[in-house]
Amino acid sequence: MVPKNLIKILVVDDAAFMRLVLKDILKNLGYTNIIEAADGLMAIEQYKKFKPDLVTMDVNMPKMDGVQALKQIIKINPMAKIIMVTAVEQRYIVQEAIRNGAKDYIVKPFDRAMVGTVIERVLNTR
Amino acid sequence: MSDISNNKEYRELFVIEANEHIQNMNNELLAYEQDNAREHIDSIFRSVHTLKGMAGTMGYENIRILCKTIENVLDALRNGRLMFEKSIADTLFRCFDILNKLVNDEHALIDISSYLSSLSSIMASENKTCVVRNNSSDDGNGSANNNNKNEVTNDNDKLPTTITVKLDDLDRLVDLVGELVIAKSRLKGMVTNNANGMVDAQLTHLDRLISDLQYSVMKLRLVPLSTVFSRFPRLVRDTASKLGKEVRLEIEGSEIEVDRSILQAITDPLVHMIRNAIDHGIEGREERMSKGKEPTGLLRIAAIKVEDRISITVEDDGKGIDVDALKKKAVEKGLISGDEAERMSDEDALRLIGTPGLSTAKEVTDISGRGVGMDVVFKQVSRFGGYVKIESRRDIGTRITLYIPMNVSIISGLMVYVHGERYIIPSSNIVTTMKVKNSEIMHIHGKRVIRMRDKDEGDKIIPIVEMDYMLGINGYSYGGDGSAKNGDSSNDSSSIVIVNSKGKSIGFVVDSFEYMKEVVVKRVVGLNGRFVDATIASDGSAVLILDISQLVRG
Repeated sequence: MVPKNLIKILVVDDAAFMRLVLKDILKNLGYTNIIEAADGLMAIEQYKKFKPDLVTMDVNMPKMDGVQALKQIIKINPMAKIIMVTAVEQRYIVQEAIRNGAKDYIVKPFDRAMVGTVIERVLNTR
Repeated sequence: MSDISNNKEYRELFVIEANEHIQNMNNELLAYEQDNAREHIDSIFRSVHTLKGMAGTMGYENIRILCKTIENVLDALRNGRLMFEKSIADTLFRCFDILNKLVNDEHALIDISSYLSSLSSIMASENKTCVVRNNSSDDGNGSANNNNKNEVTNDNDKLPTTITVKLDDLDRLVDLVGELVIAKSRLKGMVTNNANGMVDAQLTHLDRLISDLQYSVMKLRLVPLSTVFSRFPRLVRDTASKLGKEVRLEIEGSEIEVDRSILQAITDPLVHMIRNAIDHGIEGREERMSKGKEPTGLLRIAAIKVEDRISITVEDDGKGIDVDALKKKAVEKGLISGDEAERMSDEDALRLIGTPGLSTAKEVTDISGRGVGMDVVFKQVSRFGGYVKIESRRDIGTRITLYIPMNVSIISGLMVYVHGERYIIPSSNIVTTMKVKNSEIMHIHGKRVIRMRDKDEGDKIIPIVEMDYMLGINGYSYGGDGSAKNGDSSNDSSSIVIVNSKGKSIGFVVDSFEYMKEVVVKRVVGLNGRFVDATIASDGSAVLILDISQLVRG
């Protein structure tokens, strides 16, 4: 298994606040190699540039929303591991995202243990 | 979540971003008013949604709930379910302003319910299916949660006269007032020792202020009985119709307010008693008519407040409890001997219903009309220093009354001195106190008793026992039945506190006693059965509060 600190994670969220919170959770879990993007377009650029092992993708973003960005990244790499970040009531969007290649989702506000479980599960799937 | 809301870095970033989003909401709504372009609503929605997520993470519930409700309105606007008009913009702007306040002042005490109501009425005005509104012309069968909905969707535009307070916060306040009362008594104790008129006057003033404060704070915990009573019409209707019976329900005293914890504790017992009354008490139509009764049974639930206690009566005009069958059953179960059964008064026999072994037996339910779970009713009520009284007459009906002290956190009581130790007896258990000449103490069957005068019910013979014997305090040698004489023979009279628990009276002989207006109850975990809790005396030492129901039983 790859050591956690070598796993590259791209955190996509338009709110710097949410990125900070999620980054702290990830660091606490041992994932210290983190890059960020503040909208869908930037996410695609960052993805191409850094080839992260995992992406957490907020659903609601200006310019390009999370599902659109997901579709673009899946086009680049059909095996991309993308976890959607949503609010509780956005189940229908999650379903759309999963149909389009998202591997799993986490719900805001974040539960530290849940984030860890979901990430590990997604990383361990081929 | 608290570690997040206390994190300064998070808080700062949250405020900065939240303010940006609120600014965006304002700008976009202004633009939308000009050109009605959907993209503006989308943008506002995104900001509101993001703010909601951030607030949820910070644990700012007011912001989260307000955002969520704004989202509903925005969603309806962009789906065309709602036609845009100026008044909607006005409401949204006002909501943005309050969001702004909430974001920038973390500790602001802002009641958002009026804003929620305004938003809900927008939804209600255009589309009746998308919002739950409480119709006040409800036929009275409304369930308890109607009340809650009413708070949220109240379309009254005035600021509401009530606010929601977290129970934890309230309890903290109650605790603080409790500490204050204790501090005051300590101070009083010190000052009385070196008397000073000025200080005394000021202390009296402080005393009154604290009492008022205490009363006000305790009152905050009170809820009207109607919060539970309002469920009964529906309960009675459903239970009766299931059993094919006709029952008329009368409710009195729903406006009386009791402490929340009491209400919580008696809700299940009451529901249970009502079901029992309909199921086993009130007869079917034919049976009633054959007995010459009204075809419709009457169930009466009445609450009465007398001084610092409340009584709640559940009364039916059904067939009553068959005392003989009950005794027989108790003998069969080995709870009492045949002899005891014969001697037992009807009143005592009825109390057998509260015996666990008996009450769960199904057959008894069929015979007696009651039983299942009555022991739970007894237990719940005695937990609050209350007791249950059962009266029943064949074919006339049954009346069960719960007597409950009103206030569980600050009580009044007697400080009794036993062998140099102090204990508190709660006032709710005390019938009276008396000084009795030793020559007035009588002996019946080797037990010591006194005569207590009672205007209403005639004189009563009350057994008496030494308090220190009851508590098992060493220092005296007793014959074993607690009947030994007080060793202090220089005293030719005894101080006796007569207590009542579960309908039984007993007199405790104590060295002396002193009335305590305010005893602040401190919950103590792990005390043995004789004590419920403790309080702090004016000298700072802990004094145990006696659990009279345990002592009387023992």
